[in-house]
Amino acid sequence: MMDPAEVEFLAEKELVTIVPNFSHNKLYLISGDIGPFNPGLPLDVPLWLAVNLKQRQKCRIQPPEWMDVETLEAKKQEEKDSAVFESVMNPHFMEISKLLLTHAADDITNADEVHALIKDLWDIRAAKLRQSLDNLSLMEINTIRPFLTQALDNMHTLKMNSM
Amino acid sequence: MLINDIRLQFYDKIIHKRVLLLVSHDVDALCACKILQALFHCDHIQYTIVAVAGKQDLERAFLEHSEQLEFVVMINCGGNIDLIELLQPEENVVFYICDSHRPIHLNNVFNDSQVKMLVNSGDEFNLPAYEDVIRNEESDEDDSGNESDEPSGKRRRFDEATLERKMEKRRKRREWEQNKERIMYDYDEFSFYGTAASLVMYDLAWKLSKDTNDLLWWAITGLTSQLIAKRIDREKYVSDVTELNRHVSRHNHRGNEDECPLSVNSMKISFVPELQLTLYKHWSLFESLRHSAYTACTLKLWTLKGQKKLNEFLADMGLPLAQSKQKFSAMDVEFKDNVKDWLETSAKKFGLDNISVPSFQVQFGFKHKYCALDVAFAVDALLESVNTSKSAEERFMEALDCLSRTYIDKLEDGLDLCKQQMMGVVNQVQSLLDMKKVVSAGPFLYAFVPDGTPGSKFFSRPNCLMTLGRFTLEAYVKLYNRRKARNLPLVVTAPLDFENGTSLVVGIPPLPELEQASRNFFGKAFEQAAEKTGSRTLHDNFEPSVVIMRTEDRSKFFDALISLLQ
Repeated sequence: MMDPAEVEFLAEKELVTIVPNFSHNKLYLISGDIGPFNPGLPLDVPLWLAVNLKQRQKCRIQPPEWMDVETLEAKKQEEKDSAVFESVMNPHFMEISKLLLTHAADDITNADEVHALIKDLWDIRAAKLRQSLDNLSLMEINTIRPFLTQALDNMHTLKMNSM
Repeated sequence: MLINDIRLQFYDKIIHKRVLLLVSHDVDALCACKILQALFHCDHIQYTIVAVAGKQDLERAFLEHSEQLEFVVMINCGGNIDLIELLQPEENVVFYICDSHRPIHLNNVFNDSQVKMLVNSGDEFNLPAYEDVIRNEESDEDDSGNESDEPSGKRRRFDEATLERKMEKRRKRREWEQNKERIMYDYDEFSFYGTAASLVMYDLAWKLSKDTNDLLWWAITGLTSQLIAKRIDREKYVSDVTELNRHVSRHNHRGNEDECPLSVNSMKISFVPELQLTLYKHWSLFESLRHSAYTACTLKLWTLKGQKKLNEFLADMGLPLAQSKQKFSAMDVEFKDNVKDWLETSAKKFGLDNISVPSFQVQFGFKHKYCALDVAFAVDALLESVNTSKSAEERFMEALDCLSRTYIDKLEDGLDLCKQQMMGVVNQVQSLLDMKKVVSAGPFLYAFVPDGTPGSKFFSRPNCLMTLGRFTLEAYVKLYNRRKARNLPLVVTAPLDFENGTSLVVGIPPLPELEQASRNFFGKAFEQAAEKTGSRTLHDNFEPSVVIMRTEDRSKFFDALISLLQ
């Protein structure tokens, strides 16, 4: 089980485009090289760095392409019309938008609408997830029961061991 | 030394170093501290914040921390005292002082290596010339050297010329000393305030291009607190507001508002003329009118006639009494929207010409909308809270917290506290006037807040006592309308600590001066009166017109004050 903070941590590796307002040489990090930074020249950096620089007033963040009202509305409609899960713009769309909307709301056009649309999309997908568990027949439940109970057992032992 | 280029001479020097931040207990200092903190966070500068309430605190804080640090930043403290003399620092320690107290101590101005004053380049200081107040050491030595030469000089018979030269020198020196005394007296006579520390700090942030709406809002709050504490006159306030308004429009009007509206959660600041009524948006209009110094004193609410006049005023506005006693936020929308215009029109008929001041309001989210005056009041109330379970540091931290958006609930507590404080002040003014406790001593008026009255606990805090003093003086002058009283200052004392037998004394300058430059001569007067009588006083506060005194020394202190001011 991962808690939301851990998932967010993984999402922070995603690249976003920023426009820095300072100059700095290339940064050599274990995960790869970043930079060089030149004022006014856009470049791709991991999300964690973008948020940190934004908090320190050192850059402007260019929101990802999918983060605009039209794309999101289309996506929402698609998701609504389809019975199964549609592919999303980015596997971490929820985490990325959450981070960008809290720290860089002023860089996102129509931030409030974007916020609402992302939330809608999330709700639709969550509803689908829940719905799929309804209306199961006894046989169907039985086929997945061994898997579920065993998984729960395993989790219990793991928890006991870690304590 | 005065520093004008704050970025080059201050910020670039302390970057990547560890800094000690000493912050005094007032709203302007808190706001400046917030701005500086934001800058420090941006550049990863390590700092230690220590709240200092007075000179003793300052000494203690410096002693505790001085070993590890070379750079000390002081906000709204230290400018008007001789720091090197008081703290005896090591030679490598540098003080950066951003203080709105004036006059600046001359030793701080003329110390080039260790004391750097961060000031607004537009301010005028009327500093005396260096050679007029500080005599060169060399010429002194020369002088004393001559004196020790005297016996050997005697041996020579024809030294009339030398003698004459010496006489000439002494005469010159005496003249110089007299001149110096006169200059120093002129320079030191009045204490007053310069540009708010928060404005100086905001200027720095702007030059570093790190200014945001948050920082701007703190600068606005700091400036507004100067206005409500009557530290600056209206003219200076308006000119500073105009300056800030330029930044406000730069930050808050970008592109077409309809095309890409900002998120609701982001901060929006707008320039609005605001009514000078205490917290009316968070109280009822009726209560607010009663508890604001300007309306209460002008309408003379202390008398039955005044009470009637208030009702008349409300009737003139066309506001039903029931509505005016309603919480402002629960008032009918029609009234709520128009009340500002109506009030302004009616106010003119009742002699309340200056009821509105240019100010700002801030909005973030759907719920939070505050005007600068209210925020400044609330922060001050938190700072001066009389809750005994909280230490001075806790109060300071709470007030510092409530300025940031994440702890906005604390601001609401501050608003409630402020209401209690204002009620305490108004009740006290009423009882002082009813009991005729404001007495003329000849050259000044005085009033004692008796111990044990319900509100007396509020007045153990200097700012609150000063509010009471200004309120009482204005009420007294407007009520009796004697020409003589109009130019009299007021001294108020309140019990500070009953067990130790100490009281707090503040001096309020006469009304005309209060309205213009807010120059206060009590600092020097208190000092001299205490010296003459040997009263046990403590001049600990950074504001020289606030003094702590042994209660039993009060009468001889006042006698000395009377003879001094006559």
